[in-house]
Amino acid sequence: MKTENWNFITDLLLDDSFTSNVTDPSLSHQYVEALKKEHPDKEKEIVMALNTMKGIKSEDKSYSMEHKRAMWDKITEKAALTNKKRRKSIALFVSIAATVLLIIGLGISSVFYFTGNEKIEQYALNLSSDISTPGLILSDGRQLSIQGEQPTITYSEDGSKLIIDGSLKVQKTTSREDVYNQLIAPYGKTINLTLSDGTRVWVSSGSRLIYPPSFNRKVREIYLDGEAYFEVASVKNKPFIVKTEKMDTKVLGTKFYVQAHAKDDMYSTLLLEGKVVLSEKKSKSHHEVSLKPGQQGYVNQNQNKIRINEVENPENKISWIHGYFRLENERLDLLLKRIAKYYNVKITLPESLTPMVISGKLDLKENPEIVLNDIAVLANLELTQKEKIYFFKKNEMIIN
Amino acid sequence: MLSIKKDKKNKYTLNKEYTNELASIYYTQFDALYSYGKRFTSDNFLIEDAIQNVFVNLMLDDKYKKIDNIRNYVLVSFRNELIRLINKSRKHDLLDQVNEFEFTSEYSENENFENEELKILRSIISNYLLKSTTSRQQEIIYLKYDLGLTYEEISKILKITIESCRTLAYRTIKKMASDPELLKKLKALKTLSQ
Repeated sequence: MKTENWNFITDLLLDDSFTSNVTDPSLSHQYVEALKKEHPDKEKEIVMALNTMKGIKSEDKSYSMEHKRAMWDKITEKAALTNKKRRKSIALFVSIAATVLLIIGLGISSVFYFTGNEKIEQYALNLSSDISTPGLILSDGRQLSIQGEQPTITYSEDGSKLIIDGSLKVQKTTSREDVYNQLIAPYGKTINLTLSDGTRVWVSSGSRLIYPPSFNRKVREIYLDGEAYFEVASVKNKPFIVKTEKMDTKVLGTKFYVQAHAKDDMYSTLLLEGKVVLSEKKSKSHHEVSLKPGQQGYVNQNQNKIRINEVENPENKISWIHGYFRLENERLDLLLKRIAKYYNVKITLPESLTPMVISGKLDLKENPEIVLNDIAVLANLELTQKEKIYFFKKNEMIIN
Repeated sequence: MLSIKKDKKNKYTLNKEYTNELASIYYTQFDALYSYGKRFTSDNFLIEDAIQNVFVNLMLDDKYKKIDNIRNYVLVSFRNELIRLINKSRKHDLLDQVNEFEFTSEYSENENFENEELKILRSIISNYLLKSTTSRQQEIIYLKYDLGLTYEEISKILKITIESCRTLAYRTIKKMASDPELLKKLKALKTLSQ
């Protein structure tokens, strides 16, 4: 190597445009080719400069997506908390204003309700409801898969951008009203979805949700087939309606849990905060009831009347959004039913064990076997498995 | 403009679009910030705290809309915040307290399937840099070749003029390219000219 060569090399290494272009993976190749063309006699030096840079540069490290996501959640939480402290005095005023709005809004919204057209239901019926191919279908037909243990999806205000597990996707949006996205949550996972209006939805395992990327109509309508928990952001004069096949839930800004299982003909809504109006839609009378917090309205097999159930500790019913079941004297057979639905597995329990109740915290791992084993230990039962069916029976071993 | 809007029951949510923009900056810059921070301290908690504080502050007002080079802005505030946190944590230990910051390049052993020659090349150059350059020079080298920053951007981070930034880089690289010991070692490598 001659010293002359190194003069050219060091010139390159000290040049801003060389270093910034070469370190950008999207520009690097093109830039280097152009440079070689510009200095055909200096190709060797260019390669040397590039390799010297490689030597100077330390190895690329990347950190796990999960780690990044967990930290980002902390950041948004911290920012929201700091905001809250800063604006306490404003908060009181806005809070009163919002309460008034909610009351007025509920009066108006019933007018909208019966005039709303059925477009979203039509769309839901036409679309494939194949739960076995989970993922997100965008308005342009693109299908995105969802990975990660606790997937999150966040939409921008106009619905054109969304972040799935930290990576940004862009979709075309129009002002048309009949553009929808469809989300199918994989079995064993709960998806944390933030819609364009700020409404948060925890879509439970194996459930299907259809919604417009941005809400352009007078009514915010979404369609649910399965289970989801909602924290609806209040928007002036824009009621929010969760439609299901048999029963709709209409709200302004509140927290509630909807279960819509067409297969079992079981539909229910549990209210945690605020006020909602339920209306049954299969019968001619369109039976309507309003719920208070802690109440669960439901319609069951072949019935058209909405019944109301008082639920103790409603928070326990929605603990799955945090990735666990909080159990307080929960009947074992009902719990296993929920788990079977969540993981799409078959579980059998001898009749003698159905009166059994169980309490505690059950982590919802990705693998149903771990969860069922936890239950077996908790309830002192024996778990066996035969061809995708899990059997519980009394533990024969006697421990002294 | 407030970057927040009222949600319900005293709960605040941040402006969504703005938050999403910040999120994409966060996710693209995370690796760079983290490995930059690693050069200052081995305490991962301090690095994570610094990253968090930078983004929380950005989120709390819309000032970033007026900044034209957001990536560099994030780097500058991250460096300031990290140094502040490190000095704060050292206050408890009077003997250990430092005024002047030390930037030491920590070249770890590579476990990736990278080729042998590149490994050797890297170790030759890093050994040279550690022995023969000051921490300030090393930081310029890092910002310029690892992050690909321009002199103007580097000068804002190190709070020196563009000219002295350029001079410092020039001296470092020229000195390196004329070090007979180093050149001799590099010559033995095939990779360099391939």
